[in-house]
Amino acid sequence: MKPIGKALLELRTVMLGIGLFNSGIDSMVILLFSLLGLALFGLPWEIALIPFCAYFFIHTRKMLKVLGYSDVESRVPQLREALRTAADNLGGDNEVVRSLHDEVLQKMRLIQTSAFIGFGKVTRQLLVISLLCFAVITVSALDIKFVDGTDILGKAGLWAGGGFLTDGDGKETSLWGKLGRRYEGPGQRMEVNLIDERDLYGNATVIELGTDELNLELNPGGTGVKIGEVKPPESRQFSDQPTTSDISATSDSTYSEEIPKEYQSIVRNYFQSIPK
Amino acid sequence: MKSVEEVKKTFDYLFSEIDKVIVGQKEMLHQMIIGLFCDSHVLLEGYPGLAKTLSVKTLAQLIDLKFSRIQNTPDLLPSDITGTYIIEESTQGKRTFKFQPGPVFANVVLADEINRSTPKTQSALLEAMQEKQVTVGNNTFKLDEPFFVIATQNPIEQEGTYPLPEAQSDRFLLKVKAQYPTFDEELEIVDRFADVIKKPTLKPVLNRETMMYLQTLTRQVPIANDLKQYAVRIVNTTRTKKDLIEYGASPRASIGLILASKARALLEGRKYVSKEDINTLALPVLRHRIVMHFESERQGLSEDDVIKQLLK
Repeated sequence: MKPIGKALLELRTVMLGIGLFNSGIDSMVILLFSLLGLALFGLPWEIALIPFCAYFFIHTRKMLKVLGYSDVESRVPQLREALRTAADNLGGDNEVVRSLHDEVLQKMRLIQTSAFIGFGKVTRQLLVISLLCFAVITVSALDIKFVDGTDILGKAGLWAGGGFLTDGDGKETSLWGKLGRRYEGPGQRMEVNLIDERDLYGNATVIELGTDELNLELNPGGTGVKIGEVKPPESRQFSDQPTTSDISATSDSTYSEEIPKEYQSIVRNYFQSIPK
Repeated sequence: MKSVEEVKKTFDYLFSEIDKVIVGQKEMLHQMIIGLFCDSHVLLEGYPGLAKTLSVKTLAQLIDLKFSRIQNTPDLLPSDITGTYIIEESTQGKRTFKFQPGPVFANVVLADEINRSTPKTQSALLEAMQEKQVTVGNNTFKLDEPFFVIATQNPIEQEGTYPLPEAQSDRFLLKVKAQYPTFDEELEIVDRFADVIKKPTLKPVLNRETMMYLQTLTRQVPIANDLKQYAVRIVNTTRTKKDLIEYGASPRASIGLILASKARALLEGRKYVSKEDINTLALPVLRHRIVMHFESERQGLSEDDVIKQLLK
């Protein structure tokens, strides 16, 4: 391959990398926005993957179309129209084409990766990403919700919970929305967020396991401790006097009077025998 | 001349030499040289007194090529252009026919006021332009290379003229319009020619071999695929814009536009064709190749206005 061919191939590879980087950053912002929105509306976080993947795909496709030699030329004016002419005439072998290839190869040194990355834009994006990360963590930690989206959607019949279990009679029992998959027998690992399920002992949470073993693993992050509601430990006062060590029982005259005469001796004997 | 950069230097020097004789008319001179680079011909249109003839003569002098001039009149015959057989008597008294070449046997031919000669005479010249050979009687004579015809015509005084048919004007690569000089240029013309005329001495800058080499080099100038498509699209649009143009340009216009753009690039010292080359040369390449629609003529649009609309 001619040196100009190698240089152009390298340029295309670099541009592809830059395109993917830009798409990744943009898509990350979308993902975090979606996560924040979903957290505030009490919806499952997995939904955020849909806009993330869709945006990444569309953006990357668009970027790949735009990122051509014309784009390089627009950022490096010294190569204006020369780069694509050189690329289109790679197979050409005459005096002028060879001279053009040499000239383009020289001027390609002026191409800097930084020309394709808008540092201002990337800085702003990173700042937004940081703020969004902070917001997502804060919202999750403090359990801030405008509405419980899952609950509302479930009641409206728009959210079927996403997963079902089959009971012994073959009847499907709705499991928690977040489970999102079918129980398939022993050995299956299932994650359950106990904090979000208020009716833990209600019908919705009852799973017919039969003789199957259920391995439960508690999410260490989901302890249910609300940071804002944690109070300092209370001090308690205990009595200094020791408890009675000798306990005995005696009969009561009043009590005896109400007992028939034929039973009084039996009762007295019973009470006398207790300390022994 | 070893490189494209040298071409620019050489032509910068050539234009500085032309400046000694001609004031202004840069665009016209550039386009004449483009025609020469493309091994094609140029039709010059302009009012009298715009240095058309002087420009051609000066150019021929600087390129050191054989120059001839044909002053077209209605009684000019084809043989006056191509040449004819004359009887020659030898010292022994033997008479033989000898071919006497006409003015077409030159490297640079100036056909002044071409629209004043009859269509038959015009055809004789145009055949020579196309085939680069002349047939007189049973003999065909090859013309010298490079062969470059610059025809001039006057846009006024249409009485007693025979306008070139579209099919024939298509053989000219460019139709160049000589413009009036600016005020400052005209002032300099007055200073230069109204006083005692000092004839400048011009040294030839190029020779025949160099010119042939430049013609080869012109065709080697590469063009990007998208620009090639752009040029062809412009020519193609002349055939589809029926509301403005009745008859569009032929594929010869596409070839001409790309070739002329390559020549302009070379003249500018570039090794590639730019969009600006195509846009600049679309006017001289297309203006004589389109037949305007009645509606656009009624609106008072010129060929240039219509082509500019196509370029938008």
